[in-house]
Order: sequence, then C-alpha cells, then structure tokens
Amino acid sequence: MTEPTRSLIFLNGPAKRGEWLEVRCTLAHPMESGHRRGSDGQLLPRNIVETLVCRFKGALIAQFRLHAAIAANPFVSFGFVPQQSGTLELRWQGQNGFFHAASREVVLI
Amino acid sequence: MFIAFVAAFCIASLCHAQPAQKRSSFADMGTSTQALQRDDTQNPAMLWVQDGQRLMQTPSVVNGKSCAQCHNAGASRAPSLQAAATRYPALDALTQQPFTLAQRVNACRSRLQALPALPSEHQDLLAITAALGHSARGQPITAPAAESHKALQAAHDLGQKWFFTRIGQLNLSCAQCHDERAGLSLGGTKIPQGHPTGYPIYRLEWQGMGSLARRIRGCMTGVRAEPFAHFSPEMTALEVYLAARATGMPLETPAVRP
Amino acid sequence: MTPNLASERRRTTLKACALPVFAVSGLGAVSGSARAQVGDAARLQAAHDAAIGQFTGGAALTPGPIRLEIASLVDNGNTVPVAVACELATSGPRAVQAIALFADRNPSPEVMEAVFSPASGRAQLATRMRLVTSQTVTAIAKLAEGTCIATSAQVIVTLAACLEPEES
Repeated sequence: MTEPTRSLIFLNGPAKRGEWLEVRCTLAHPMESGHRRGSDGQLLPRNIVETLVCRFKGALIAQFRLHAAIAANPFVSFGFVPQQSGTLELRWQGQNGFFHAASREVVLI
Repeated sequence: MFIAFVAAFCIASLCHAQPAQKRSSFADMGTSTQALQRDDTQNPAMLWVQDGQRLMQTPSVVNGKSCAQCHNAGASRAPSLQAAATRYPALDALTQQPFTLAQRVNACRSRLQALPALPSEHQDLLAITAALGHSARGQPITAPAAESHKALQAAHDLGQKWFFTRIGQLNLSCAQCHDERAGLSLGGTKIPQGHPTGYPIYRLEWQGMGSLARRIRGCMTGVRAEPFAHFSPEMTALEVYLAARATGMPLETPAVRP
Repeated sequence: MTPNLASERRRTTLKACALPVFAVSGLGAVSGSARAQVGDAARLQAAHDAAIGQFTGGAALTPGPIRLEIASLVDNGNTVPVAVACELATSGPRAVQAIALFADRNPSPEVMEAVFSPASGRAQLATRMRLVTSQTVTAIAKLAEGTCIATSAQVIVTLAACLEPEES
C-alpha cells in the first residue's frame, strides 16, 4: 500500500471469451521532449518513455514505440481478444533506465 | 447632477453583479477535452486521485497515524471526509482563521500526524486534495457563509476587494475579465467566469496537476502583477471569495482544463 | 472506439486568432513552456517524408478503410487526443501488422508506432499527442501483404491567451 501510483490500467467493458476487450493505460511520466527550455534558458534534456509492451498470459499482444510527440503522462488505448482468464502485463521502458511494470487480472465472465 | 452620476457609476462598478447564470468553463472546452474529464479511465488526474487515496491510508512515519484512522466512516473521532471538499475554505478553530482545504490538510499533518506541512504544489498535497475532491464530485460547493464568523467575513471582504481591484502593469482586475467579459474571446480562448469548481486541476498547459493558487498566480503574472504568495492571507481571502461566488455549483474535481 | 474522441468541428474562420492581445512576445520568452521553434518548413517536410518512408519501406500510401479521429481545433497543443481505427483484421492475408502516426510540422515527425498480433483482434488505438503548431497528422496502417493505407487530418493549434513562466 506504500508504492506511489505510477500507472493506471482500466479494462473498458466486460471481459467475454472471444470478444474484443479495450485496455486503457496511463503512466505517470513527464515525457520531457527535449525541446523545452528551463527558466535559465537551457534546453531541458529529452527524457521520454520509449516502449510499451503488452502481454496476456505471457503471449505478446501488442507493442508500442513512443516518441517525444506523445503527451506527458502517456495514455494508450488498445485491445485484445481473450480466450481464457489470465494476467495482462504491461511494461514501459524509457531513457535513463526507466522501467515500470504493472498487471491486471482479466476474469472472463 | 454630474457628481451624482459619477457616484452612481462608481457604486455600480463596485457592486458589479456577478454573472447572472453561473457557468463552469467545462462547457467552453472541446469535446475531446471534456471527454478526458468525464471519463475516469481517461482522466490523467486519476493518477493523483489514486495516489491521494493511498496517502490517506498511509500511517505517518513519525507517529503511525493516518487520515483514515480518524476519518473512516464509523470512526467517531473526526467527521467523514466524503463531502469535505465542498465545505472549504472554512474556519480553523485553533487559529480562528480561514483555511483552504490544502491548509487544513497541512494542519492535520503537522498537528496530528507529526508530519511536515507540504508546499502548495507538492505532488502529495495535490494528490490528497484531488482524492478528497473526487470523493465529493458532483456535490454542490457549500463553503461556510461569510456571515457565520467575523474572520470569514473579513477574508470574504478582503478577497472581494482584491477581485475588484486593478492590479499589475496591465492594470486589470479579476472582475473586468471574469465578471464583465466572461464569454468573450481573449486570443483564441473564451474568457471563463473563473469558478474554482474543479481544483486541483490537470491543466494541459502545465502537463500536470496544480492548485487554484497556482492558477491565480498564473493570472496575476499574466497581468504583470506580483502574485500573491502561496498560503498568504491575500490568497486565502481570494479563495474564500471565489468559493462564495461559486456557491451551489457542483464540484468537478479533478477537472481537466486547457 | 474510445468514446467522444470524434470532434470534427469545422471552423472556417478564427477571428479570435487575429487578436493577439496577450499572445505576442511582449510577455517575454516562453521559458519552460512547451513551444519549440517552428523550423524551416522544407526541412520538416523532408524529415516527415523520410520517416514515413522508413515505416512503409517505400510502399506507396493508398486510401483504405482507416479512420483518424482528432479535433480540428485543439484546446491545447500539449495534449491532443487522437484515435486510429482500421476496419481490417489483425490476422489473415490482409492483416494489419502495424499502425503509425506522423505530424508534419513537429520538431520530429514520428509520434507512435503500434505493432499488433493476431490476438489484438482489432487494429485500433488511441493516445494523446503533442502538436507544436497547426499541421497535418497522418495515420498509416501497414498490411501483411506489404501495402500501406493512410489517412490525414488538418489540425489547428492556437496559442494560450496568457503564457505563464515555468513555475508554480
């Protein structure tokens, strides 16, 4: 209960076997583009999340390559078709060794 | 005759009516930004709301007390926090001065949890006030009336005075934009009435969360005035006045704004 | 499809934009504000075309069943919701393998690439992007057979009326 909130994962809809289920995820991250200047006039160095990988029951569902043009606190919505209940895993990786993993249980109704 | 006219005009300006129909700036946003606010599965502020909920459960590292221990439903020690966010700014019994919600959270932290008070834009403070607002979302803003205590009345009057006072190199008062010209365009933006219905907000311009005080400071800087300091009597007074001005409007926290 | 992202308001005139009351440089440098210098249009266009070529492998962009949903006038260029949906499946001979988004006047043209699998079910995604200025956003779907279908949208980005310094 003491880990700061780094991400949110929502399943948008009931999870039914063989039916497309939407996943919405948000990651807390500034996505510093490298084009902004600080109050001292110097460019703030680029510091972005670069990849998001989604697996369900260990199998790869989708992968995303993010660039500096993705807004801060990156939000991605995508979907998949579950055939069984299982664990959905999301992994974000970025510059400066950034890594965050989160998961959500998908229980088919 | 002329003096009477000038006097009447001055009185009319001082007592300028608030907008007849209170309107949140939510209505002025594009549909996709509105969708961000409406839908908790898309609202980036939910990162802070969820964190605030966690923080309120977290025991103090100094004396082990958490917000939840006192404020949980059923606990008799302190009131439920469910709609607390709609009842601020309110009088602090100990100091007999008005407190904003953030000041109240800081007071509880220092007096009861032996924790340091947090700066206004500290992410934990924004998270806690966002969580409190989120739990009261949809309920009407009903801050205690100014008449209920002389300190609240004094703060209300001071805030009202500032609201109608021209400030800064641009020599503009809040009222000139937000009462007189609400609904007109400034650049590409529609001027809002400026009600604090959704704070703390996720502001797209900030790419993050911020308090009402941060927004007010931004406006004051915008008219090239020295902005009120965070937690200053002037800032609290202005927040007291703005809450009174928005009485009855539903809380939207956590709002998304451009 | 993520609801409420369709916003095809057509504003043919923006009289308000002709009144740069506070938006001009009189307020000084926009230190810390998310505004890059809008560079040379030709250089940006070349970078944009090269990035697209990198994604498509040289295949021509053809029209097809791909939809791009983005507001035509954004509230703030820092965060612009965008959604792409392609009617084709993610498995089979005409499967959508990947979708990419590009912006032709951002400092860098790439926005996002998504690679799907058969388990994806639908070639559909939504995200939020940054637009430094008014420009064209292009969505391209790369199919298993090697062809690429694409669509574009023009987006208008205005400056905020009051520009704030980077502080709180």
